[in-house]
Amino acid sequence: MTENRTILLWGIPEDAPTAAMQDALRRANSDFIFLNQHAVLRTTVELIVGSSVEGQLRIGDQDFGLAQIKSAYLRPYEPAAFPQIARAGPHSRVWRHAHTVYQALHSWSEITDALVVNRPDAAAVNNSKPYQAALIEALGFRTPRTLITTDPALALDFWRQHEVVIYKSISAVRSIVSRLSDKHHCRLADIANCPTQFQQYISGTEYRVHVVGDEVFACAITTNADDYRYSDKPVQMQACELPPEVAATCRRLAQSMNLHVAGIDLRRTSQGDWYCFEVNPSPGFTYFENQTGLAIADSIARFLMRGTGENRQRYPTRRDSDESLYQAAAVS
Amino acid sequence: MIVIIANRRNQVAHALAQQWAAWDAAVLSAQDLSVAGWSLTDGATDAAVVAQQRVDERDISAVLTLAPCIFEHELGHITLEDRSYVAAEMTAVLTFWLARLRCPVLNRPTAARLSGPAWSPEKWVRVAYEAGVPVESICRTAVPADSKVEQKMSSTVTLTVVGNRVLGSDDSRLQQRARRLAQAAAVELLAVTFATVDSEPHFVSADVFPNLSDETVAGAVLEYLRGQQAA
Repeated sequence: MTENRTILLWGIPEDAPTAAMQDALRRANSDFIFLNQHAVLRTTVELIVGSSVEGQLRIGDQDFGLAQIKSAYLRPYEPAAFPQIARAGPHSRVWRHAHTVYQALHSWSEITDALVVNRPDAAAVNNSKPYQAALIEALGFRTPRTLITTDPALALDFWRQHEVVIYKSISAVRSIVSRLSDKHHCRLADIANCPTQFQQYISGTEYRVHVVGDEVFACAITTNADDYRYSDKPVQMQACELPPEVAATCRRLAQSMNLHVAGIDLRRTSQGDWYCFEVNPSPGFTYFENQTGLAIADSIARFLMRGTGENRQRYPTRRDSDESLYQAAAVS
Repeated sequence: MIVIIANRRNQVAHALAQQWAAWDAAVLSAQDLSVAGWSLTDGATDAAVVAQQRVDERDISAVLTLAPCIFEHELGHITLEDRSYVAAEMTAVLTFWLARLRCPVLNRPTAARLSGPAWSPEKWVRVAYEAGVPVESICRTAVPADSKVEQKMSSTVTLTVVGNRVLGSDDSRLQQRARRLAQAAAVELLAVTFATVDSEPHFVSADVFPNLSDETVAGAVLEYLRGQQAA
């Protein structure tokens, strides 16, 4: 049997978390392979799956056995996001090759014995935020009262009931969280075209928590913005310790979703209640690391260097994990 | 009411809705998510829109999902630049709605797909192998000149699992293997294809969208949706 011994990073060099992981692994003198998606036309993959998972990855003139990989950190972009692939079009060899490489590695990352941060199946939990919110509630955090509707009258009722209401995307597509204001009155009719998610606004102190295996990195965020990620209002961040029970719930949340690395958005109200808004399966942790000095990349690097063995649950199916939690949430 | 989630041009879905008219079957398509009437909230009864009509969740007795997601190309009524976003949003809403329905749903959604898991052919092979089913290896090759997926196949047979029934073959060994795979995948509706290799049936592929133009399969699905399967 081939000894597992190296780490695979898959993504693009200009992606800040991917770049940070390369730096962290170099600092740790760890061997790693960087599969740069820009070089997809010089990349070949052969994946053979039956009673075992085998195959070969070639980048330029370098060959690697897939069985050599003990862990992987994935931040790939869809092939069509690259101009050279998009320009070539869906009927071209270039397009077909880029997609086959993507699908082969995607498949490999679902079934390999290597530790994968994070497996695509697990990362999909964020595809529906209300679906994820049900899992979050089942594990002990509060979530804001929510209405998803295509009915402007119901949205207006919900707004009146909660006074301060935000709206945000339902899917994993990034959107700016915004507060409903008078200017939205005339646009409410538009929600008949597409279901829209409204939430009771929860005031309090924002926290961003990164879970890496068993380690928890938290920072408190002071801001007046509805969505500090896109605000030009001042944002202050400070590394902090969470109450042990909150940190434990964060760990449990990530583990129950089979996420080795997760970014969790929390808010603590003045009454001391902890609300959770989202668990991000592919967090852009560098934004927080750069402002707080939290050594998140180094922690992920250590985790990847430990490799296989942490990744016990190889087939996280819905019935095994999220579905049972989901049912618990739906019943409660 | 039996709700069939499908593309509005899905002929099989519309044929089933007609055949099942006695059980008030109707097709829910992407267009229904662009009609005022949807309401999903905490603690209250959900409301959906089916065939352009608002429907109370309590009036829905079962759901059959024949679409993996809402596709952009189904959204001709949405501005071109918004279609990708709207398709993702509509899929996310249906995922949430289907997951919390208490009536029979074939198949229950996962976070990755409206009906069952969104597994690659390679993952199906691995899950079958882990479930103790002999498998036919699959090879995916990505080289610039020739990217392809290959799997040796001799004569094949496809069985369809519908709840506790297995259709398509009387061979108990095949039935048992198909059932085992459906259990491993946590689905109630699954087509499983086997090839015979050295007189041994090997798993080749699986599909959570079986051929429902087959009357026997459609009949078994209706039986399941109406809660009439024997335990």
